[in-house]
Amino acid sequence: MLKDGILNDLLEEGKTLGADLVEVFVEHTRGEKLTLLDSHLKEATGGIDFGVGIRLIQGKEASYAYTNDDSPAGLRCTLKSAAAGLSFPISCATRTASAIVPPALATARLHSKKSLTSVPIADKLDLLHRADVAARATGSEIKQVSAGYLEQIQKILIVNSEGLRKEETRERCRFVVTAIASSAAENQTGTESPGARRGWEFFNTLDVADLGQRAAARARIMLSATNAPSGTMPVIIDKGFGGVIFHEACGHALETHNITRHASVFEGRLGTPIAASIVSAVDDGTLDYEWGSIAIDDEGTPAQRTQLIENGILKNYMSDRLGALELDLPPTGSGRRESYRYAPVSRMRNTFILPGSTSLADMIASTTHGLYAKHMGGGSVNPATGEFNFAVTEGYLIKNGRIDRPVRGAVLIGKGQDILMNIDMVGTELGLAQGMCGAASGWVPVDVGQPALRVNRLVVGGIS
Amino acid sequence: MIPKLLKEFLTQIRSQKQADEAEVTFFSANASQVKVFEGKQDAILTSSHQGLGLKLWQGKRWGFAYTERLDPDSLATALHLARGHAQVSPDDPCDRPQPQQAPPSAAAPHKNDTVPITALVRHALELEAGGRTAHPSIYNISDCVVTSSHNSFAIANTLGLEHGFTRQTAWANLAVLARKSEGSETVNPWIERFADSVDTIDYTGMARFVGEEAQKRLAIAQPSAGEKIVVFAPEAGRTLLRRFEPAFLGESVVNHLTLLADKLDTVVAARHVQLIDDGMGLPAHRPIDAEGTPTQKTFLIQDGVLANFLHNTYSAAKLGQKNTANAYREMKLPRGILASNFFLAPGNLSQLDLLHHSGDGILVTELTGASASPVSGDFSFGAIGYEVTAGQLGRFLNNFTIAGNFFRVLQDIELISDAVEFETPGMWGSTGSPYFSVKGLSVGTA
Repeated sequence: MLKDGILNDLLEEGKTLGADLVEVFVEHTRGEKLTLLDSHLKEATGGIDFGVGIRLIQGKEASYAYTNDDSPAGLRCTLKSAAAGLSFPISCATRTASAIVPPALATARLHSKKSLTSVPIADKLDLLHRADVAARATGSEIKQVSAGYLEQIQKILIVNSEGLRKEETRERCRFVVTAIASSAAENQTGTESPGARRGWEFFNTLDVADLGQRAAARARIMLSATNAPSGTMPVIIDKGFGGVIFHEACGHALETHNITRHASVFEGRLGTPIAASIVSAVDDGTLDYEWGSIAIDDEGTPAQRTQLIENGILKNYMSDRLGALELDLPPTGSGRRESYRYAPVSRMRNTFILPGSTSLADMIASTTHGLYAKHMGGGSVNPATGEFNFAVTEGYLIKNGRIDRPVRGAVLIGKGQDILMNIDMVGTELGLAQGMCGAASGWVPVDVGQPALRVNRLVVGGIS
Repeated sequence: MIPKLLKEFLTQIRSQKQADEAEVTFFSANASQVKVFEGKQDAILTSSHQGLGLKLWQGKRWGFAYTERLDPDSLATALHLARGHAQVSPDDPCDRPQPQQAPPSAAAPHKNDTVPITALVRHALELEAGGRTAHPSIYNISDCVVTSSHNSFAIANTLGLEHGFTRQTAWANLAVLARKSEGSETVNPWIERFADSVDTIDYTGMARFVGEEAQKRLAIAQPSAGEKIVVFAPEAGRTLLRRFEPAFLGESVVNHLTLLADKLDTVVAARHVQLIDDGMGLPAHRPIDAEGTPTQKTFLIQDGVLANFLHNTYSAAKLGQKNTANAYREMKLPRGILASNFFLAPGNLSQLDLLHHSGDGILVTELTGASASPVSGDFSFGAIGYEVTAGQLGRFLNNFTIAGNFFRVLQDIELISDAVEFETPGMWGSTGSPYFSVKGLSVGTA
């Protein structure tokens, strides 16, 4: 992508400017997006992202600059822009920041068998049409279907003044289908959106017609749903995307970016109980072919499986290089960024609660009155206060140990430190789901996940 | 504003008959940003970035590609991709390139295009210091950032269109953590302010605001659940409007994604409600939209009646309605619609009088979460605010929910204050809201 000679010159020049560490991140990403709407191809776009990010670290201070101009002059100018941001004067001393880089652990299988770029557009369009037809065939209430195909082949090169030189090619694809069910006066939607760190072979594992049918089914159910009540009650959150709760309520507060800024409710809590004893959770970048998996993070650290919580005890944070240095912890391969336009920051990868021992059927049977959140939407959290909220996109009341009528418009709110302690049942079957997480270093692909679990008291916001 | 290289590229496409017509949109951005923490620089960012979108037409079909590399090989790749996309696209006769409609205005004088990092550092440190001392309950600064950006957009096509505009904006964010005492609940007041230059942002006022909010939030309470009168402060009002802006877009009507589709010229809101989009106004004035059409002021709702949708040339042609010059593009987006200065028009009550007349209810200052559907109108947000009793502000209320339907809210708006506050403008626009009250929304609480 960039010649080694140019890179070496940049690293050398950066060292003479007095930085402890000079890091260059080069990215070339090819993307394609196809959108079907009204059963017609509405949009076909694709192209190239390319840029170079240069980071200078001095102690705990970092300065970052990026550009598309990869000429030697353009890169030197960018380096100088980064240097202008450091607070210490230029000196001739060359120092090497020490960092404990863990050995490469088990790596995920991430190679594509059939590259997405080798597949004709017609084959990709066929996926969209099949999902569209299947969704519409579920019933006349389905008035609109949107189907989308996304592919991204991201090539990165990371070099730094400690001699690191790492490259990775990340091929990802995603399929999104949204169905809209309408009656005379209202609309409701349902969405399915699987993705993977794979090539075209991923679509051999997907039944896109089934996805369309499931999206349509959720939209139709919600059309007949009544408004969710408000109140505090037990909530059973189903497996898979229900894991967004842990991601929001807990995950962000375990990123060292928030810990080092004293903006996390879990600061200083390593080794202490932060969850019910039946809760164990990990963040794992090494899962084969999963959407959030990486071979190396965006600082060049090998990905790993990080035990976050074990039997309720907080075991580890997720750390990037700077977080590891500041907290005197080993980096966990969690330094991530959306693109060269961002400096890396500690982020999640595939984050999930581990299976327990209670079946979903038993959970429901043991709940007198509550909410069954079968499918979740997105949410948000304030890591500094622990306050979170997230949407239930398919919910059912539970009455006397049985699932009752569907309800809509529910939002779950609370605090991360409370919800973890109030989990009293954990299911046996883990599910993972794909999403995009937005934070200080942009939007990155992540898996969320969990088995079904019950929170014995949670605030449900609905329509009274 | 379009680099010569790209104009030559267009000429080449035409002369080599690679397309019937072609259009390039060129984006460039330069920014500097400083984050400080505990009296020191925490993270510095400087950026210089550009890219182009290439749209071409073959008969009634069009194709699109983008690239951040502007060398001849990369442009050729983009052309190849765009031609490939055109081949698989259906006929779309309503999507056409536009000729020049207005002469390019003289380039606006740039104020301080390149802001020295040292200036941003100085202001950020000043802001953080002010935040730390704004109130004794403040124990940490969770965010202190000062940013200066200069963005430009240009469009040119084989019909002779050539136009563009620039935007220079500076903004600052300050978020603090406060608590009554160690171990008590933490609150997180924050503020964002913008200006043309980092030198003219009111940093002292920002620190004073977070200090006042920290004090007001020391006594934390929960509202009682039920249906209540809700007053939206401008920040919360903007969130609501922004989330439901898509319901007013022409493309939502074309794609059957809005319940307003067949409601033109019918009453959709209380009679004193005006919802406006003004491309010529502040804070995000721009001379053209992303197709080069001169901008205008459009009433979406006038005296409670749905008067217009927002259009680009495509949706206007599809629906047989007038283009409102709201075309929107990004480097990777070949066609879109976006509001410009989008706001609920002010009424005639001062903020204080509005509260006095509200009786008992809740003042919502912030909405959080993602549960809002422009397709159905349903929303359910996390919220913070203050109780209102007999028209007086009372205790701070934390982490509750409000739920309802946006189209119902429009009809239930009762009182509107006399000043609109806008958010930091982006390249294409900004959203604004006054204070306004709604007669009944569901409140959920712990």
